[in-house]
Amino acid sequence: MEINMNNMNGFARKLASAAAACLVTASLLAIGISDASAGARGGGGGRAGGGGGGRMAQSSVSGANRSMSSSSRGGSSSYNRPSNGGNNSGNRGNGNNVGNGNRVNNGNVNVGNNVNIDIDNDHHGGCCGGGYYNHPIAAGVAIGAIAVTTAAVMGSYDYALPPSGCSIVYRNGISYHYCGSVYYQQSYSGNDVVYVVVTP
Amino acid sequence: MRMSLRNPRRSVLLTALLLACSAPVMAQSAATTTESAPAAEEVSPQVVSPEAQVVLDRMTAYLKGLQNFSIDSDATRDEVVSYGYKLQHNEHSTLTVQRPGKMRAEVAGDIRDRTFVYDGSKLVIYSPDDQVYTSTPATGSLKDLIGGLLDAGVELPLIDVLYQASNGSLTEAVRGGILVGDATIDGVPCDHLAFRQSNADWQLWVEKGDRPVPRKVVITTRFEVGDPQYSAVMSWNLQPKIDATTFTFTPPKGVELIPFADAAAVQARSP
Repeated sequence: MEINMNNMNGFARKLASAAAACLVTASLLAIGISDASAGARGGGGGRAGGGGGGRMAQSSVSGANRSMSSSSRGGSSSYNRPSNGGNNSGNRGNGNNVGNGNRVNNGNVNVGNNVNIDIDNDHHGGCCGGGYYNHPIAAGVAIGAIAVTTAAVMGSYDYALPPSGCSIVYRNGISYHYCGSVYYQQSYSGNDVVYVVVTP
Repeated sequence: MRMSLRNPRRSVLLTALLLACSAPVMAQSAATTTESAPAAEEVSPQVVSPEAQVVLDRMTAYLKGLQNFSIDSDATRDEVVSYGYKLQHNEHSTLTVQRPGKMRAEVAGDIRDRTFVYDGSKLVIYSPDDQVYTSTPATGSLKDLIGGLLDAGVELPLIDVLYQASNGSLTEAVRGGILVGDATIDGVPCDHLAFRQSNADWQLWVEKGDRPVPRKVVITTRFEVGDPQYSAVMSWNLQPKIDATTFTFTPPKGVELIPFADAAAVQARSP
């Protein structure tokens, strides 16, 4: 996130959020927020983007204390998790108050699609083997350098692979995802399973 | 604080909590303007009321004395999305502990499903949805493991309970704490505690009587739009069923072993 919201007071942050909503096509901040709501539910039968793009409550006091004493990590809620822009048919959304054609999703789904089109050449996620019940994420939005440059930076990572052109390659018993000219290896990072750009 | 003030005793106590929270700040500013004042001694880092401390100490001592236990927990967690809309995610988890060095945690939640297995020499994290697991050497006690998980940003369910049982220093960053009064959780009489620190307000419900275990925790993240909360209600079993498979992990067919990258090993997340 380009704007450090932690340093603002509540009123200023509300203003900032409102401003961000107005500037939806212009800023990364807006992308992060709109992506969160774009995928309130859905994505291959699970949740589309829930648990990522928004601001999550701290789940432990000891974790909160640790994040106060070390600034190296932004805590569990500080990253932008892109949502699944093209896949909003979540079962949790059907017929309840939050999921289908409602206030949360209205408009934001389109915003999410636009983001994906602009940045990722029409990547719509949901591509690579499925299984993203709890990680229903579009490919490549604004994590590290992958999404905004064509040259993937070694060691950078993403929450999903590009949607097409990937094949699985085995080297020394380890499987890699070879997409274009880039090798990715799945890896745990903190809470998440991510794709790290590697040299096999 | 959005607490009920209909009880006069609570009202007084809450005022005390708020005063306790602001007192160190006032003392701090006074100290900075008075050059002769000894810096550290003027500011007490912890202002927990004696009656609240008694409950905490009773719980901590009891937790430290437990050898085996398991906790079933139902938790909710708020996520604030666009326009301040607040979603609530649900999660059920089971934590089984055999001290000093074995642990298994199963999480089934809206956001993610995870299995953590620690046998005293290695930690396995399994993600059924991704069909992958990782295994990393981790020798030592649960206390060491908890520190490593916190450093790596891995969210283990009810890590606060383990942390308090092994370290006993959950209140290290607390600026104020009080005993709110009596409460009942799942039909069990409890003492209700409230704490404030710079980045979170949290509440704890500790069972009364000869089994002072935490029955509920609520953590309110401060200075986030919508004041998102985490809340977990715990059900305890002090004679858990532990067998040979409890602390071992056998990967299901087709599940792949992948590396565990420490946060520093991969490019830092966007600032």
